[in-house]
Formats: sequence, structure tokens, C-alpha cells
Amino acid sequence: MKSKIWNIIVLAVLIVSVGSFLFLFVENKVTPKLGSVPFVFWTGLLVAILLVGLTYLGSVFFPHDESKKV
Amino acid sequence: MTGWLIFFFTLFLASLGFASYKSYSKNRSSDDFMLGGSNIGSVLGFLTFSAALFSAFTFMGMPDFFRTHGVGAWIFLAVSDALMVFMLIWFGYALRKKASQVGYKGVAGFVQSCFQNKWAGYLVFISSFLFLIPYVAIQVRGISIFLSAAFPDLIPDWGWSAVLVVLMLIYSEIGGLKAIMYSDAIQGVIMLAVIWIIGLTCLSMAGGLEAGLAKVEESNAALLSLPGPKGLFSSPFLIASAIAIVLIPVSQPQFTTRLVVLKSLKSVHKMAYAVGIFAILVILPTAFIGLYGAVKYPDVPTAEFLSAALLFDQASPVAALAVVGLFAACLSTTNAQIFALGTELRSLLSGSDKGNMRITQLAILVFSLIVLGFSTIMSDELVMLARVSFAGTSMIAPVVLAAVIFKNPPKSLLILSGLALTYFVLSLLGLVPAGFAGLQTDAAMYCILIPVSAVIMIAHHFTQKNTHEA
Repeated sequence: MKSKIWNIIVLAVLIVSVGSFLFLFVENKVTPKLGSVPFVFWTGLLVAILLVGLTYLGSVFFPHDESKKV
Repeated sequence: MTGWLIFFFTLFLASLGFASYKSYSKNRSSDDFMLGGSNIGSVLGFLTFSAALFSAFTFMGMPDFFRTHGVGAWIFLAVSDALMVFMLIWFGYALRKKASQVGYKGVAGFVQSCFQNKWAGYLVFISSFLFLIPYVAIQVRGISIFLSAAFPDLIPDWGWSAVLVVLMLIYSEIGGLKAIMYSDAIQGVIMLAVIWIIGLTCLSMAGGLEAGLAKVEESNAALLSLPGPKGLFSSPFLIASAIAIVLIPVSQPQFTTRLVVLKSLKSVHKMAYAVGIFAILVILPTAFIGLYGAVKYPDVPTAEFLSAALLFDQASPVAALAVVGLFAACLSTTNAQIFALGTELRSLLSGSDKGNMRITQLAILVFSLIVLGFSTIMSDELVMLARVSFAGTSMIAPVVLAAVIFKNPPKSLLILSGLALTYFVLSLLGLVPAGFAGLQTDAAMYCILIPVSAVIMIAHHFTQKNTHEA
């Protein structure tokens, strides 16, 4: 089960990163703004928070343990 | 301000002295000295990783990057760092697993053991030496530019650089990696606090977020979108930067070693998302400082903008804290890198424990002197120089990854990475064309290095499988 969730998380990270560079971080796009914040900045902030959130989930659902201390 | 400066510096130096004293042990082995006894918890681990990662390059370079190139600076660093911390979850596990099988004294020695080839170790050491020395020199250069602008008649540029290097040498030679980690923790906390105080002050001086952004839209609207007014943040640049930054824990030994010396995999995983949170928190206020710069100092030189925004426009206690915070940020990255070079050298030595430790301590002194010399001839483009360092060391990432993944890693990767590293260095020296197919050198190299490495690794995986089955 843990392994399945981990694979989903890895897939989510791939989709978020590739999707962001393809569809969000495009040139000369300022709108829609969030308040007064330009598009690239607020979507970039959102993507960074999402990736860190996925890192947290990845740390919880990582399927392997280490057998002994280094 | 002088009174406040003396007060904060005394506090800072006292805490560094305490860290060295707590870490000093008379009968320590070279492993205790160089690897901190390999028993570091997640809180100390995350603070030392973050402090080593964020430095003068973040404190000074990022505000200037936001001011000059606009909001794309966020994607360049924060999004790339968020991807990098995710990579730590798997890489930390795989690295520690392999290190527990073959032993670990440093990345160069580790790779040498995995490949059963001394050239593999030399390749890692050469890459570290070539690209960490300029990276350390950037930090030293950064602090000397700032302090010279702030106190023009006190001591010359090189004097500030020398103070930093001597201070770092004293406490790292006394306390070893553990002293560096404790001081990193202190420096990380100072840096985060100071950058937020300055960031919020700058935001308020810019008239608040809405008014500040409105002024920027009037004066230079290109700052609010990609690729920025100078066209720097093109997609190839941002993607190549993300790759170079994601590979930092693989190819920059000061970070690789920090993953191994943590006491458990759980600590590594906690550290990973904590570093991600720290990255967002520390980069966000640099955008506020950059916004203030774009509003008030759009056309002045870097040093003038930084000394005004971080120092002269701030209240005395904040300005004094900024000096100490910047000094701390710079010191933590510098010592991590110089010490990592020492660790790498030691991992290639085969003599007695005491002899190796003496050679390593001497090497750290020599590396510091080289850095000091180098820092006097560096340019002022801190972020771009840091990026070259990340990209340069990433050329040997396939070698380290293969060492971690495979029982008998394919030696053809040594030739591939060696060629990539050589081409990258030659392109920096202007001896071969810098980039091709309309791409910059690093982006173009990744277009070759990543697919070829992947093909070699996949082919090796199936060959090994067939050999075992036969």
C-alpha cells in the first residue's frame, strides 16, 4: 500500500513540475493576478508550496526503511 | 550603529566560541572530526543543510536578481529548491544504504570504492575543487563588497575577506564538522530572522505590496513576467537551472556528506521537507527587498543598492543585525564548502588515521588561502557565478548516481562525465564554443548527458540482470 501511494506521489511531482514549466511559467503572462501579485509569482509560490507538501507526504509514505545505521 | 554592531558581533562570536568548545574533544578520531561522529539529529541536520545552501548568494544575490530580472527569480530558485528537497527523500535512502555497505569517508572515496577505480575518486575530487573554490570565493567576495560599501574607510576589501577566512579556519580546525554544524544552526536562525526583518521593512518602505507592484508596473512592467527585462529567464535557462539545483545533493559533497552523517533515514526525511519550508521562508523576503530596489534604486550598481537597502535605509539595530546576519550566512556556506574539500581529500588518502587528519587540516588551510586569493579577482555577479558552480559539479552527477544505484556501476559513465566536465570547463575558458543549438552550455550538455546516461544505466541494468540469471 505504502509503495502504491509513493508511486502516486512521484507521479504527482512529475506532473506538477513538467506541467508548470509547460503551461504556467510561460513568457509575457502577467494576468490573472492574485490581488496585485502577477501570475508567474503567485503560481510559482503555489507550485513551490505544493512540491514541499508532496515532499512531506513522500517522507511519510516512502516504502523503504534502512536496516542499520551507517 | 557601531554600538549595536559590537553588541551583536560579540554575541555571535561568543556563540561560535561556545560551539567550538562543545565540539572539541582531545582524543577524537578523524571520523569524529570530519563526519561529526555520524550521529546528527533532524533539527541540527536541517539547519546545517539550510545554512550551507543559503548564503551571501541568497542574502545579496537574490534581492538584486529580483530587482534586475523580476519575478522569474522565484522560479529560478524557490521552485528548483522545492524539487531538490523531494529528490532528497529517495536519494538520501539510496545513498545511506550503499554507504552502509561500502563505507563512507567522503564522496570521492565512496565513488572510488563503488567503481573499484581510483580515477572515479579523482574525477569527483577534481570537479569539487574546480567548482567549489570559485563558489566559496563568491561568498567571500560578496561579504567584502558589502562591508567595503558599508564601511568605506575602515579596512580594504581583502581585509574583510581575510577576517572571514581566519575566523572560519579557527573554529573549524578546533571543533571539526560538529562545530561547523552547531555554528550553521546559529547562523541559519540569525539569517532567517534578519532577512524577514529587512524584507518587511523594505516592503513597508516600498509603500506596501500593492503600491510597490503598481509602481514597478509603471516604471518597468517586464519585471512582472517571464523572461524579465533582460530576457534572462527563458524556459531553457529555468529548466537547466532546475536540473543543476536538483542535482546539488548528488554532486556537491558538502550536501552529500550531510545526508550520510544524519543518525537515521527518518532524520533525513524530516530534514528534507524542513529545508523546503526554510527555502520558501528565506527566499520570499528577498523578493520584497528586490521590489523595494526596483521602486527606489532601479538603475544603481549592485553594491550601492545592497548597502542602501540592507544598511543605510534601515534603523541602526536592524542595520547592525544585517551586517552580522550576512556575515553569518556567508561564513556558514564558506566553512561547509572548504571543509567538504578537506573531507573529499581525506577520503582518497590511505595512510594512518592521525597522519590523514594532519594532512586534511593542512589541506583545509591551503584551500582557504587559495579561496582568499581567488576572491580578490572575482566578478560581482554572485548568482550567475553560483549557478555556474551548480551546473559544473552536476556534470559528474551520473557517476555518483550510478555508484549509489548499481552493485558494479558501468565504467563508461566515468568517460561520459569526464568528457562533459572537460567540455564545460573548456567552454568557460572560451576554448570551445559556449553552448550549441541555441542553448547555453549547461542546457546543451544536459540534452546529451541525461539521455546518454539513462541509456547506459538501463542497458547496464539489463546486462547485469542477464549475467546474474545466466
